[in-house]
Amino acid sequence: MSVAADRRGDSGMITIQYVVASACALVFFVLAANLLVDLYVRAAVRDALDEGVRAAVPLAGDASVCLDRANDALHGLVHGSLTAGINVRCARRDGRVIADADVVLPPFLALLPAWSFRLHAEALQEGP
Amino acid sequence: MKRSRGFIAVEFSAAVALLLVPTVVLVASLPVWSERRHAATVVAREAARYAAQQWPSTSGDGVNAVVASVAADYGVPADDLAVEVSENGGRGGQVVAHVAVVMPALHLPLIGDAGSWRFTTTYAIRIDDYRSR
Repeated sequence: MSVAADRRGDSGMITIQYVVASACALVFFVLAANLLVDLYVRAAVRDALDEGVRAAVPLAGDASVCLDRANDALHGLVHGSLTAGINVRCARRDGRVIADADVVLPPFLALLPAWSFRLHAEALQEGP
Repeated sequence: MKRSRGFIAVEFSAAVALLLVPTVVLVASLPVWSERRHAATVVAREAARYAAQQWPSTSGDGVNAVVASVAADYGVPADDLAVEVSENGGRGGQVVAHVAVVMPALHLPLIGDAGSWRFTTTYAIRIDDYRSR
């Protein structure tokens, strides 16, 4: 077999495999980035809930103080469309300040389902 | 040229093993460390606050309930937390909470954890000088 024929025999073989391998690797990196962002948002919401309940711990604190503080903290940590799926609620019950958040995080790839979860925080309120 | 057939498969496997898997393990492990550190801080703070508010009662049931509640909020198994609350003196003294939490060295998604170390934290709160018994 001549050199020219030998080259024609596997021409393009590397390219197709390289493209497929690169695509798989890039999708993998996107999924890893998606996981990283989602875990960051989950930690940020937890921090915001903790800030909220801590703000309402003094005797004069109420649910609105908790909610305002939690939303302030949340919007300082998370920006953009990610905040659209985060719903924070606060309440006082049995001497405790309670904060809950329902979170729905959109996926980076349309084929994946959204990640939804609920977070909770509470703190003992100061007594007289 | 025939000997080079399929070498991309080898490179791809090597890339997955050497680059992608370590990346995913790091992405999955780092947030767990941060979350558990924060959980330990909150557990220590809430346990100390509860014990100070219940002073002079030394019953540990309430503290245990607070610890269990916070641990559940953060998704930390109760077995991974060790909490010790001590009272130092009466009025004007301190309630001190020591918390140790198990940190997984590597968190492998869908597989489990590998290796661990303990993170410890302490929170102290003063008992009011004019606190009634």
